[in-house]
Amino acid sequence: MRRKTALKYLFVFIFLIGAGCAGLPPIIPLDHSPTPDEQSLSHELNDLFPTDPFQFVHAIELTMPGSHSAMLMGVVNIHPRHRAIHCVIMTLEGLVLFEADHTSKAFTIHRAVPPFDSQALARGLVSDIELIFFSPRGKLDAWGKLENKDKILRFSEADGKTIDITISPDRTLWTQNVRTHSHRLKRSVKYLFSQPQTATNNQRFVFPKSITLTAAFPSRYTLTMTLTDANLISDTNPCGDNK
Amino acid sequence: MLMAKKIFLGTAATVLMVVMISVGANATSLADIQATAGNIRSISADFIQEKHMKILVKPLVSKGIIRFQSPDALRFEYREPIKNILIMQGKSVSRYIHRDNTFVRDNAAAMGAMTVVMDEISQWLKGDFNTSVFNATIEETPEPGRIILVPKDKAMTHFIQDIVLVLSEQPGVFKEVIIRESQDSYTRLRFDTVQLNENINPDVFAAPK
Repeated sequence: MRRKTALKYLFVFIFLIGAGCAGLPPIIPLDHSPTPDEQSLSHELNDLFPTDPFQFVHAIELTMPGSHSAMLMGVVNIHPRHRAIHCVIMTLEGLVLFEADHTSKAFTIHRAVPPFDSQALARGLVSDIELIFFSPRGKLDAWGKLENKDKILRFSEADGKTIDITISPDRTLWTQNVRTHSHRLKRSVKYLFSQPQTATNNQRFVFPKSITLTAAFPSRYTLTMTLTDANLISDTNPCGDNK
Repeated sequence: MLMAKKIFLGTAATVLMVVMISVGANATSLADIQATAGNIRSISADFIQEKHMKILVKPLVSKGIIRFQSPDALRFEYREPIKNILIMQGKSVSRYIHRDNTFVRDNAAAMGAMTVVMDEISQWLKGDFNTSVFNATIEETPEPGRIILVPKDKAMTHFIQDIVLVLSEQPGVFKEVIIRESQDSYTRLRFDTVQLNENINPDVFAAPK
């Protein structure tokens, strides 16, 4: 009986180890496809990550384990050239719960009301915003197609993480998956466009109508962001005011 | 400090109710205002909420309608850009978010804090502004006057500097409410098409479908 129980535990242990060390999704190389050069790569990524400084306003639904959820408003100014961010989170009534600047030189919290008054949470939030809006810093390691025909670009980051960017055949659904060096999924971002993202789009700027970020660890939560407004802003003073 | 934070969070939704306070235009004292209170059975109004901040390219604008039934039923309905409804019935406060063509109850932690300030708000509704949380003063100029509410607790002034209630020419109604968080950040609520003492269907204050 004891042996049977021990075997059960062993089976569960092996299963968990296996799950923890899940590999990266296999990539099917494209036939006769040359290595994407920097220009074609940045052209592809520019469809997802704006290169101009923008202000985005989103309705944000924050969902945490145990059916805890909150609807908030988010304003984020992004300055891709400087990789700088100014973000504000407020209640639907407009009262500011969190406001911070992040540049390559400094991270400044201007206002933080519970539950946003934890440094760890604030840094995590800003790092999530960076992930959502800025292209990966790492180098392109592999590219091709997934089994489901989605196009994939795989980047390896300096800290050992892997970032997979996938694009659906109709280009309306993009995803970005961040995995640790042991290939454990850490963040998953889904970008949903209302029209295909193509180089021939007449519109100068097309942004995802919704973005969903799922954090797997160390904390588990989901941010569902619905775009309500987007405005081009000046790049002369990253993280300064806009008036 | 904790109380101040709770009140800040709760105030986010409930401070908006001040529009309901029954006030006489050209009231010369808070006592006058309090005396006028109680004549209002119900209020319906449209509102426009503008959030102003230095960071914003343009103010964030939300629109909706508000319904109040004396003594303590309130429906604060945002119609755009984010559809949601805040309902208060007595001591119970609930928010409903529009999702997939239906309204879903939002169980955010801040909802508990809103209950904390219900007592405060109910005092405002009776025209009593000098509460345990705010000190109130009345300014007669510019006409028709305004009431300034300043938090008593210094810790709370980090979150809300003051609340300005601008009186309207129409007796029983405020023209606008300004919630100042800092020099660079404030929310302005403007009220329009105000109707007093009309019958409101009680279902309006039930959970939306």
